[in-house]
Amino acid sequence: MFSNSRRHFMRASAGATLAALTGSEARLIAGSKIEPRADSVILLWMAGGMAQTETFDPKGYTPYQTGLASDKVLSTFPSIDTVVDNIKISQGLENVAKIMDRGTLLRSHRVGDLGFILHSRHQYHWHTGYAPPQSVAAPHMGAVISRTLGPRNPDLPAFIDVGQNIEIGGESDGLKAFHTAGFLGSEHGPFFITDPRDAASSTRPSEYVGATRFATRYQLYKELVEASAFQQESLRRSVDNAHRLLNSQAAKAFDLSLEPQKSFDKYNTGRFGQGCLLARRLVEQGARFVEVTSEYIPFRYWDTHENGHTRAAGMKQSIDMPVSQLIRDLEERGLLDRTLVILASEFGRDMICEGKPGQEVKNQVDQPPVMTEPKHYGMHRHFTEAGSVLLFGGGIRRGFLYGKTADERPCRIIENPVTIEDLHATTYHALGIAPDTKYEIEKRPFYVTKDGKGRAVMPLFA
Amino acid sequence: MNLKCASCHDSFINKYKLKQSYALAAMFAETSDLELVRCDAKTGKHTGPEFLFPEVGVKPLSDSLADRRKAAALSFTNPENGRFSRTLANRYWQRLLGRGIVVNVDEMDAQPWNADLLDWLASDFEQHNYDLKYLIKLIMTSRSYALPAVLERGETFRGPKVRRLTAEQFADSLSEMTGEWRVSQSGEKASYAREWELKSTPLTRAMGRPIRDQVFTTREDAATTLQALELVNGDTLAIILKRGAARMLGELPDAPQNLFDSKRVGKGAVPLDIDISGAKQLWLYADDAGCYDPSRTVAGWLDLKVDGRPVAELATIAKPSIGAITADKVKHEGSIIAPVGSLILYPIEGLGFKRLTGAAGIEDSARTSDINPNVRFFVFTEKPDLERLLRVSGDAPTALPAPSRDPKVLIDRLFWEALSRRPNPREAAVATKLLVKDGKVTQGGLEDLIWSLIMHPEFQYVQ
Repeated sequence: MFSNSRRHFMRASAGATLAALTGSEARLIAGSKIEPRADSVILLWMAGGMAQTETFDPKGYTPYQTGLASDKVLSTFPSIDTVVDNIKISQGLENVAKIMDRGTLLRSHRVGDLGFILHSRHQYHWHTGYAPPQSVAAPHMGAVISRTLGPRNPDLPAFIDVGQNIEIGGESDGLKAFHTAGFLGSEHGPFFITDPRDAASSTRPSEYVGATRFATRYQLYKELVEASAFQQESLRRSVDNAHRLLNSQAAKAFDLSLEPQKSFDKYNTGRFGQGCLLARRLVEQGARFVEVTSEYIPFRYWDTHENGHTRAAGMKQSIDMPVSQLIRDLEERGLLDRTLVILASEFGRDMICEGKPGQEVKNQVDQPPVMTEPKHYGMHRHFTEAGSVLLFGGGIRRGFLYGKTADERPCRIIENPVTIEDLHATTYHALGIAPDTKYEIEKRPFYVTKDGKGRAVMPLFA
Repeated sequence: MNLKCASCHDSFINKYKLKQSYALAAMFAETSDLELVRCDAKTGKHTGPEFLFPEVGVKPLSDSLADRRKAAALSFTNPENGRFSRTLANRYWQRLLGRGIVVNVDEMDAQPWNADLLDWLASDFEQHNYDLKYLIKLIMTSRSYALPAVLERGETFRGPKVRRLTAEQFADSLSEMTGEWRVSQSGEKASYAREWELKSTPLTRAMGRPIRDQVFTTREDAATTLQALELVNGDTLAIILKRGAARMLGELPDAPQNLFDSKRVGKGAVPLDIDISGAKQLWLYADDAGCYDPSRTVAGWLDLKVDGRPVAELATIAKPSIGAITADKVKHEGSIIAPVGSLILYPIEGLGFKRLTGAAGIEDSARTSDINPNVRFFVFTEKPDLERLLRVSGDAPTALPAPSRDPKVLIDRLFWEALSRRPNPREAAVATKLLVKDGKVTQGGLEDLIWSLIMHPEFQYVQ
């Protein structure tokens, strides 16, 4: 049913795009043809650096005791069985453990070595595929997908970004830098839902204005513009599109109060959990790319610099139910096959090693060699050598484990490393976009994976 | 000049070489000797500082950073270097008429479509001591500027190009229409400000105000759906419209003045001792002044007393928590806990209180790196206007409009402000339908009329 309306949208938006042409519009040069396996992507972003040994790559567990040596500790939680025989994950993820047979656990994600470690820089790198700074404004992968494939449903923005407040003081500019469509043009930028709990109000007239006044205002506005000699087609289209979206059936997906209470409760661990529910509702209505983030705020959420054990327990509690429910619901609705769900983070964590093993970088926190209080117990340093990624749906293998890290510190990757470029190539491959697809901007090619060199990790596909 | 390509390799799109970019960079870098890196690979070749155009460059007196930067400044502004004035003249022409005399303002080596015009503008600008106001006035009083705007982009100049308002022009024009200006209130004093003086908002970012991390020399001016969503339904604009309409109708009350302003408090406590004689109400407000985590910030009003009697014992419907707060190692029992953003009202009419004493402060245990508390405490004796916590001093950038409730006055004035003309009869009829409900001018109606005018293509596009 989307194909008809999609054509309609393309026609409607073509005028707007043409009007926007300023001679510097990026030109798409498609790569080799790939049969798409997925239509939509949900990216579950563990912002702040999710400790892999406390979540999906548990190592030897050492309980806390005063006087414990920091370098003895690899995991602060015991591991638990999952429904897949050879996969164990960390305690606190019991619900995810039950759905491990629906997807792939990748334990060998190796992110970039960017010199000095800063969350917004690594998140920029992960989301655009390019390490900052770049001389060309690099687009977020959601914008690349929006521009390359267009919306699935014309009444929903193709790139919806849930959960990140970008006005957060310190690293605000860094966050803004990658939450954009860059040179692809702002039509493809993120539609922000800063807080999923407010999603409904972002997509319907405010209570203050009310539906009746909102409709009357639009009607009279159109009459007013018609009465003038000066018209501007692109502006008219953009205003029409906005009103159509706000009044559409699809926009009801944003209203979480329409979800049955029982189902809502299964997701409701707070902001992130409700974001997962929102993502499901949006994909049901034909959203193309939805990112749901646990939100990056320095020193909060996954950015565990002290009290790491307690805080990791809290974070796991916030993701365990909603992630597993999202996969179950997508499967039950027959949507999982055509929806690629990725859970990833900008890097992992360790108690001792900062950055990549053997490479000197400034330690971001003081971790005492011997713990004297419980707040010392946890993965407080940034570890860029290895991180864990979950992949579900979109043709990804089920019940599969890929990549391996060593069981002794520094827990390097010992099998099948997967870089950001390759993980992006895998994502694009699922959507039928070749990794050497490029845009020509400022007379240079800009590839969707760095220099067109990303390689889809084919063993991950069924 | 656009050196982006040449900062990684010899440019494919203009004549600049990798070495030239590095030589220019060496005028600003910490060290004067830079190794050339082609794309990601070191080349082993080095360069010292040199201006992009050595024939007009000034050599640094020494290798010190200060001398190198001084030489850079002198090179860029060297009167021998005609590029400086040509580049500026071209950019202002482009900004004001929609298209440069050298069309791509980043590639000044390209052919101008009228070399004589550019040369004349540049030399006239130099002769007037590089006075930008003079240059702007010259262009804006020219016949070229006065020609009707054109949509097509032919080679031949037929008139200024139809161009969109910038985000800043859009925001400032709206402020000028309504008298509702943004206020800078982070420092000691509050003052009216134009958009460019303050941080961008979701509204102005949607309208194309760039972010700081990327270098832009021109703005995108496309009308997009995401932008329209912000204009149709965004909170930023809704609040400006609401306050602006109330102000135009003379219904926006003057913001009450605070009796106490702690300034930013990150730790410890700030004492207060103020005269509240005759006050009917006491409002305590704790404003977020830059906490990492406002929700976990613990702040409060300590030992707060009216004429010696604890405020915590007074009646209030706000029902704040009362507890101990330790500020700078001193424990204050019975403090009024003030979560960030909390506004607590104590009705004190007829109780005859004269002095309010005590302190406002931050709980020591909240002073962690992941909370980073920063609170600014205020006391008012009337309900505060949270957009105007401080007395705004100085004038607004343009005169505030006189309040009126006369539909004809309002419509005429808004049309003049927005479109520089009177409404035609059909427009006047529609505007009246927007503005007047059941025979009366309503605030909602005025908001809708202002909205319809700022969404009007004739407002958003300069002709």
